[in-house]
Amino acid sequence: MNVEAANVSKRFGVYTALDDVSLEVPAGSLLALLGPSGSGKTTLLRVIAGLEVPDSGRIVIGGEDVTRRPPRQRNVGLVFQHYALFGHMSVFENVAFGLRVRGLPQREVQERVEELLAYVQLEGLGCRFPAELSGGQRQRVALARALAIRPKVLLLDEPFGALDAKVRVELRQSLRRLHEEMHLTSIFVTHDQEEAFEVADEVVVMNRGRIEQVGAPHHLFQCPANAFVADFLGDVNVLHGCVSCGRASFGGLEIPYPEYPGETPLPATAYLRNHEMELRRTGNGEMHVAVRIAHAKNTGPAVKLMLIAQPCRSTLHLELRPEEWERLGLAIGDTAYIVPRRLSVFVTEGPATQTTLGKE
Amino acid sequence: MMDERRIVRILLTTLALGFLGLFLVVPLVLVFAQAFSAGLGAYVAAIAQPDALSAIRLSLIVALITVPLNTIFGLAAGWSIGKFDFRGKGLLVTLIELPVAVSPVVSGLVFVLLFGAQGLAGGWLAARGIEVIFAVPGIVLATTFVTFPYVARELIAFMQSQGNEAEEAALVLGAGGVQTFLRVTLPNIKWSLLYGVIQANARTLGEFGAVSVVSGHIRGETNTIPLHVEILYNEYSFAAAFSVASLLVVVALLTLAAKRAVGWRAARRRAAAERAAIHRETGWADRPSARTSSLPGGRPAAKVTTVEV
Repeated sequence: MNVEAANVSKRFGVYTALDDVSLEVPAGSLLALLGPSGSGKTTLLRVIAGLEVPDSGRIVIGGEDVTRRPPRQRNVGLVFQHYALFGHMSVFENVAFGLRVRGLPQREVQERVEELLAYVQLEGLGCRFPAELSGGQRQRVALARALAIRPKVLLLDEPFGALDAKVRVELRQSLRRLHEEMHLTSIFVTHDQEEAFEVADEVVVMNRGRIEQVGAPHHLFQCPANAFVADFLGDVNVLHGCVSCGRASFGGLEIPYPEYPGETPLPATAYLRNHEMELRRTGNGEMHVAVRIAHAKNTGPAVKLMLIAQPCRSTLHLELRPEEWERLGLAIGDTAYIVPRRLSVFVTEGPATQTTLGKE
Repeated sequence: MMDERRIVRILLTTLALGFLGLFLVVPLVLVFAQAFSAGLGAYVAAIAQPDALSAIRLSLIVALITVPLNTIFGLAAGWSIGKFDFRGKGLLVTLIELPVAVSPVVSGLVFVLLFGAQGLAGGWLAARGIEVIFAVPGIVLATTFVTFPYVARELIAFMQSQGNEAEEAALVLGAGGVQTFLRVTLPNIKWSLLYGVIQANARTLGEFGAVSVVSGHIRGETNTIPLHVEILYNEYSFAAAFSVASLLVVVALLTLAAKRAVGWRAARRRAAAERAAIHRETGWADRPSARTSSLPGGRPAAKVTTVEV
């Protein structure tokens, strides 16, 4: 079933958690809500589940307006970040809860719960209590419990958040598999870019109660809509400069910027990714930025460099293979040049431009 | 030579035990010693005396009314304060603590001022022949007022620490408000609730100050156990006074034992949770399984196999 949020706003006192958010989740897709803490992603999930009533806007699930409906009439499955298992009930009763409150006969409950426990590979643990389970096992109980009521939409709040690193990576694949086998519309919240990109078909980047960009992982990475998205997606270096007369200039680096033909210079930011720039001993004319090598650390597989861009004093980070570093023959304190292959330019409030430089 | 730390330890332990003995154990022993000073027959006679039996009956009636009232009030307060955010919540929490802070005599006087012959509602009540002060309703009111924080504050603290997640999970899973309360909230808070009820009950049976002000000390009618003990004592019937007082001591000892047992249950559940947290296990994707399982949707599943690379 498709899920739609239309112009949803939600405030808690003076704090705006959701600011006119609109989003369409097509039926059967697996979507990640990605953003830093306080970006409104969990609130959006809770509004969809019906645990929060939006101040304005509508929630439509499967074509029906459910904005004013209580959670129990929405038929969604929700997995809480800390699982929220019922501590006084056995694993079996936890999974059975949604079926029992619906008044299903004992035989059906028994059958369905056993089926689900087998699916999440917890058969035989039905009579244990949540306190006797590990984190990963609790997560699976929470999942089975949410699935028991045959929801059309599965919502997961930081599903990997409370688990240790190894289990997290394994669970990503499990979630992907589950989504494909169950034909659900799934939405999960995460603050981890890697998780969102690896698991989701589509990623929604949120910040301060607004949606910054929606797109497939590779699209977001290649064409970030604005400075926040570029920054949040990580591993970027920032250069400060300005735009005027259809050109953007960042120290020695000048590129065309036809979007702004005005003469008054506007401050601008260029984002370049680690793997999309090259370090050289000498410049190549126009397309370079002079840098001073502030710090170099050989960590074994890579040499991590800290560079200070000469014109704007911003700090750049770059990793080289040790043999590349050897070949350049540079030392701390030397001046070198950065030649970007690709960079994104943002003027405050202006549209983003992606420029691919040179051959590629 | 003795280690200095050891000397300090022995000194402090002796001090604590001495203090405990002087102020708790000795009085406790004395109560029973005095109670039985005139022999077992006199002990039984003092308790079986009609005025004493009436005091016991009244105390039990007051407890039977007060404790359930406090339980309901405590649940309502704990639920609203622990689970919801609203304006004036801090003020409400402070107000709930008020009866603990105010001297019981003042609490009693408040009810005399409200419902006494000279009080605000006194004329209205007298015209309808309703007796509150110097009668059982006044005793119940005063006792309820003095004891109402006991269940409430136990539950407020516990429910605040628990948060709302379990209830929210129940709602999403399709439970209504009543079902959520009965199936999720109540089982979760039962030990805290019981603990609060035990405390409220002990305080109800033992309450003296507020009840003394509103009761009027009418023998065989408005005397509770503590008031009856005072009357006997003032009449120099020491053995009888201590005999009746020993009943309160027994209640206190039973309360302690019950609190201990309830507290032990709660601690054991916590310990189980901690043990489980240490005993970790990896997730479900790492277990290779070549079984073909039927999916909960009723459709046949693909083989659930994970290959280690």
